[in-house]
Amino acid sequence: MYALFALFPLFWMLLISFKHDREMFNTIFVFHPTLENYRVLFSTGEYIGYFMNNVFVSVGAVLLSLVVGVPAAYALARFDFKGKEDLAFTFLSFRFAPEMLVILPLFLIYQRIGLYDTAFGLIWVFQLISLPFIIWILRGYFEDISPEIEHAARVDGYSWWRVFLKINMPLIKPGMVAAALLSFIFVWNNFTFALLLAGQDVVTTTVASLKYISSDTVHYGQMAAAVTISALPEVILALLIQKHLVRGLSMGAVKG
Amino acid sequence: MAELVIRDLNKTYMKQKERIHAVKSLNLTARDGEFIAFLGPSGCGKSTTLRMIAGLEDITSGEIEIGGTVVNRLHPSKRNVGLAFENYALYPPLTVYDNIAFNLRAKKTPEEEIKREVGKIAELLHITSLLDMKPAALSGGQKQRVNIARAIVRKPGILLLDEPLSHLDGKMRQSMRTELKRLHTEIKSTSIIVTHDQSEAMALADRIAIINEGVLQQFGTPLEVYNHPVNEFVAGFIGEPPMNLFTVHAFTAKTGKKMFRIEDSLLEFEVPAAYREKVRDSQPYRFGIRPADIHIVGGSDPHTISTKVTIFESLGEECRVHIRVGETLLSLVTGEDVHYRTGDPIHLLFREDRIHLFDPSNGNRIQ
Amino acid sequence: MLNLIAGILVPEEGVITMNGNVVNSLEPEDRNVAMVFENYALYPHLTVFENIASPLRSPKYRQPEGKIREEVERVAKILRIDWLLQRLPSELSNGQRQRVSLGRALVRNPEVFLMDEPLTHLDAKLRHQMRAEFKEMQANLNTTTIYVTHDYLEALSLADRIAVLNQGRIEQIGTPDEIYYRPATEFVAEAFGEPEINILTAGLVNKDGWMYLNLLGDSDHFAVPGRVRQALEEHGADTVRAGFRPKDIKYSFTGDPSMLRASVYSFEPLGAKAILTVQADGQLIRLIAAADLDVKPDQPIYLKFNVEEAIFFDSGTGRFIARAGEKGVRSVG
Repeated sequence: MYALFALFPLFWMLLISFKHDREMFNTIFVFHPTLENYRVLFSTGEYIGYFMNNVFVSVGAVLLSLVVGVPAAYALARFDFKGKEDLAFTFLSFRFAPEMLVILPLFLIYQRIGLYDTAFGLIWVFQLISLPFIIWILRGYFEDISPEIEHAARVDGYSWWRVFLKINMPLIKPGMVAAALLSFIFVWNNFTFALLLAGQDVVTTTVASLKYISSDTVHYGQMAAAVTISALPEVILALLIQKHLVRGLSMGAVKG
Repeated sequence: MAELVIRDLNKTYMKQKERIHAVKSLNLTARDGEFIAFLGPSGCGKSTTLRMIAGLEDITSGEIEIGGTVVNRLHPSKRNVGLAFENYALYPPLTVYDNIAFNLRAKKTPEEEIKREVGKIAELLHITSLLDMKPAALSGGQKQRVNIARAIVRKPGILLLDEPLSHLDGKMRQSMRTELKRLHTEIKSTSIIVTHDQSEAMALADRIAIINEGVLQQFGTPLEVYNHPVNEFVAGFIGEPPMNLFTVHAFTAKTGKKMFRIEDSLLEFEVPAAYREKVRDSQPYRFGIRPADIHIVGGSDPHTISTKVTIFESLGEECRVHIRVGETLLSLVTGEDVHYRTGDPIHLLFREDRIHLFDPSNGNRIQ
Repeated sequence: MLNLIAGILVPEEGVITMNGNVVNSLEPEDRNVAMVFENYALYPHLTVFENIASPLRSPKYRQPEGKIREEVERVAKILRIDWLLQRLPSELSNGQRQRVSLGRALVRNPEVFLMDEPLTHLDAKLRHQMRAEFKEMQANLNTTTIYVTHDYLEALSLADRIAVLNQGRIEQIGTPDEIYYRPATEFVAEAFGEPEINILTAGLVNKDGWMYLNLLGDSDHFAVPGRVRQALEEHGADTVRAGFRPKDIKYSFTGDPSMLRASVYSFEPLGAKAILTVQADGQLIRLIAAADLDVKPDQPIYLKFNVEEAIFFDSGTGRFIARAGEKGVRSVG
C-alpha cells in the first residue's frame, strides 16, 4: 500500500512527460503518447548543459568528500583522542540543520568571497550533505575491521600506508561504494543550495525544472520530461547500490 | 519440590522459511529433589527445552507436567518454577535485597516475612554483606549468587539454571560449581541445569541428559554416561581429555587370533575377548578408549602395542603422552613421576574392560 | 607485553633487544617478528593461499612467485590445510583458521615467533589436540617463541621457561617444574593446578624438640620435616602460609589418631577422578578422589596432609620460603 502511495506521483510524472500540454489536465489514463516534450527538451541543448552541470557538481562533491572523509572516518574509528565523539557528532549535526537556516549567511559569505555561482562553490557547500554521510557510514566499516588484522599485516612486513591500501581499502570498498552512491543521490537532488547559491552559470537540473514555469503557462509536460531524465541516474545508481549494501565480506576474518 | 515429567515433547519453528525441528520427541522424568543436567553442544535444543519448561516458549506438541499438573497452558508465574538466567538479568536500579525480594513483594508477602526469607537465602549463598549494594557494584560471581538467590527465594518446585557458570572466569567458575552442588544438598529442590560444559554436568548432576540435534542421546548418572556411553557422540562428548576414537579394521592373523589394525597405521592389537564373537573380518569399527584407560607397561607381550612417544606433556598433576596415529594423536594420561622424551619406545596396554566399540554406520555401541 | 615486542605499542621506558640490537624505535615491519593473533586476524578478502603468502609478497620479505608457491605449499602441508588453499577465511572452521594464521607466521624465518593465546577460541577437545600438535611442531622449529596464554596447562606443556605475570609485573620466571613445585608467590601457586592449591594459615609450634604446624586448630599432626624446619627458623616468623596441592592430601572414612577430622562439603565427579571438597575448622579444602566414591554431604572424613610436599609462604608478603622435597630444584648441567 505504502509503495503504491509513494510511487504514484512518480508514475504520474512519467505519464505526463509523454502527454501534450493540451491533454495535461485529463485525469483519464488514455491519451496519445508523444515524445514531443523530450524533443523540445533536447532541441535547445540548454538542458544537456544543466544535466552536465549537475553531474560535474555532484561527482565533484562526492569525490572531495571521499578524499576528506575516508581518512577522517578511519581516524574516528581507530584513534582515541580528546573530543573524538564530539567531533563525530559535529559532523553528523551538519545534517540536522535545516538548509534554510544556514542559507542566508552562506549566501552573504559566498557573494563576498566570490564563490557565488561557481561550480566549486556548490561542491563546497555540498560537503555539508555528503561528508557526514561518508564519515558515518565508513566509520562503522572501519570499526568492523579488527585492529589485529592491521597489526598482522604490519608484522608481515607491510608499511602503514600499504596496510591501508592493500588491507583496509578492499575491506571497506562495499561501504565506500554505498556511501558514495547514497551521498551522490542526496547531492543530486539538492534544490535549496543549488537554487540560492548559484545563478545563471551553474544551473542544475533540479533548479532548471523551475524554468518551465513561464509567466503565462506552466509546461508541465516538459518539466516532467526534464525531471524524468534527471531521475534516471538515481534509479540506475539505486539499483547498483543494492548489490553493494551487502556487508558480509568481512565475516570470517576473526573468530566466529 | 516437585517431580517433572516431559512426555513426547516437540518444538518446531520457522527460520528463514525453513522448518527447524529443535526438540524431537523428548521423554524424561526428573524425580523429586533430583539434580538433572541438560548437556549438549550449542544449538542442540537444550535451552529451548528449558524455556518450554519455564513457559517462555510455546510447546509444539507433547506435555510437561510439574508436580502432577500439566502446565502446557499455564503462565510462567503459575508454574512453580524459578529460573536463573545465563546473563544474570538483575534489575539494575534495585539493591541486592530488593532484587531478591522482588518476587515476594509481587506476591504481596508481608515485609516481616520477606526480611526473614531474604536473610536466610542471603546466608545460604554468602551474600549477606552485599544486600545493600546495587548490581553494578558486584563481581560476576556475586551477581550469579544474587541471581540464584532470586530464583530460589520463591521456593520453586523446580529450579531452572540456564548456563549459570558460563560467564565466570576459571577459578570463580570452579568455586561457584562447588557452591552450587552444596546448595542443592541444602535446599533439595528439583533442579535442572543447562550447560554445554561436560565437566559441569558431571560434577553437579545426579543424572545427565545428553542432547544432540534435538534428540536425547542418553539419560543416566555421570558414571553411567562416562563408563557406558550408548553411542559415539556421547563417548566423544563426555570426558576430559576426550576419549581416543579411531577407525579399526578387523582381520584374522596367521596365528588364528582376531586382531584390529588402526586405520592409517601399523598399530595392531588383539580384539578384546568380549567382542571376539561379534567382530567380523575386514569390517571397519569405531574403537574408543579413554586416555586414563591406557597403561604403559614394562615389556611387550601379545596384548600390548609397541610404539614410540611423539609428544610428552608434563602438566603438574598428571602427564600426558601422545602418539601419532595417521592424522590424529592417541593420547594417554600417566602419573606424574615418569618422564618420557620424544622417540622413546613404549609398550601400551589397553584396559580390556574399558574398550568401547561402535558401529561406524550409525555410531551405536556394539554390546 | 607481546604488542610491545611486536612493535604495535611503543614502550614508555626500558629497552627491548633482539640479538643484541635495541629495537624500540623500529616499526613492526622492520623487526622481523612473526605473530599469531588470538582472533586469527586473517585477511577476509584474500584466500588461504594469499593469506599465507602475504609476508612473502610484502616489500620487506619479497620472494619470487615460484618460491612463494613452493613455500606456501610446504607450510600448508605441515599444517594439513593444503586442501583448503583456495578457500576464503569465512569458509573455514575455527580450528582451520587458527592453522592458517599459524601458517602465515611459519612461512618465513623470523627472529622471534609471538603467539597471542592462539588456542583460546577452540573448544576443549580441539584445544587438547592442537596443544599437542603445537608441541610437535615447535620441536622441529628451533626459533625463539614467546607464547601468551591464561591457560596454565598450555604454559606447562609448551614452554621451556614460563614468566608468570600479574598486574603488569613478573611474579616469577622459571622452568615448568620450578613454577609448579617452587612457586615464588601464592599467586603463582594458585595460578597453576586444578583444582586449586589449598593455602592455609599455620602457626609454628615447638614441642618435644620437634616443630609442628598448627593447622586448622590442630597442632599435633603436622611435624615439619627437618630441611624445611631450618628454613622456617631462619625466616623467624611464628605463622606461615602452608600450601597443599589437592593430590597431596589423603582421605579415609575410618578415624586414625594421625588424621584430622573434617566433614564432606561437596563431591564433584569428573569421570576419571573427582573433586572432593571438605570442611574443617570453617575452611574449605579441595582434594582429589576416585570418581566412584560414595559419599554423603556432612559425613565425617579423616585427612592426612603430606607435609613433605607442602609449600611454605610468608604470611605477610605471600613469598616462597621453603619446600621439603627435591622437586623443582634446578638441576645443574
